[in-house]
Amino acid sequence: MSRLKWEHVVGILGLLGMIGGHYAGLFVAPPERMMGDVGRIFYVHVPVAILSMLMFSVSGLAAFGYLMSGRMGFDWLVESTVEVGVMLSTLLLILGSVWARPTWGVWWTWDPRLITATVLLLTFVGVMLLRGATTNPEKRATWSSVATLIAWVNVPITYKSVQWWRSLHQIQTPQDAISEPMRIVYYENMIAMILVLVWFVAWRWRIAKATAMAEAPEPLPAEVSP
Amino acid sequence: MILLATAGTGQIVGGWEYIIMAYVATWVFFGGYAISLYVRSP
Repeated sequence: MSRLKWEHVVGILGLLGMIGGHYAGLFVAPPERMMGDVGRIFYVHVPVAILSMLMFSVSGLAAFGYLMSGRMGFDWLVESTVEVGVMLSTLLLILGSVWARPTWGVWWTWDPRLITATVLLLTFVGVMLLRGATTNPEKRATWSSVATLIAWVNVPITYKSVQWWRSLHQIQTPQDAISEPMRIVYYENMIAMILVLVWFVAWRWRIAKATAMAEAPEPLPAEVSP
Repeated sequence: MILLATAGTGQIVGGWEYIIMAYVATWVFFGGYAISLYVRSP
């Protein structure tokens, strides 16, 4: 029987935390002053938004690490964090749309935050497609690291878009503007989601490593002396 | 004047179908991704 890997323990803790956090978000936290119960979407939307940008920032750091060191471990980290980030970004747009309908009256509008978030998603989908364009591991790692760094430039633009341009989307809420019962539920959901994402990234990293090892050419046989 | 005094103090009522949709979408994405990792595991 194989030993249970540490990331699966972290993942199980994260899932349990998410169950508790979602229960609290749905039934324990008070309704938001203006949005009423619809404000409960906050407990899933905001952690996903922050952590998707954080995930792409880790991709950027890993890409930089690969370009500086040439170590394939960084490339596997790029592969795993970009994929998890794309999953999160897609979910983020869906959650934003679901929240926009009862609060703004529309599923979608050409708002600066929505546009920059969509461009961010599409550029990182481009990084994933680029990785599939070559079978050479070193070329793949170099190309995708450069593309990841270029795509990452949109992370701070997306974050600041609500401050730089006139936007329907509200600006970032200061932590002290959130009442304590809401803040506790928010932190609980944020911590639980971080644990689940650490699980996803570590698991995906192992898959990337195993795939790379399987693709590596067989070593040449040792020369036999007569 | 009454209208002005109450403007901005309203609260959205209901909307549980959107709340449920958001939480279900989160679990579908996270569950689906975990399954995809399990399937791809060596």
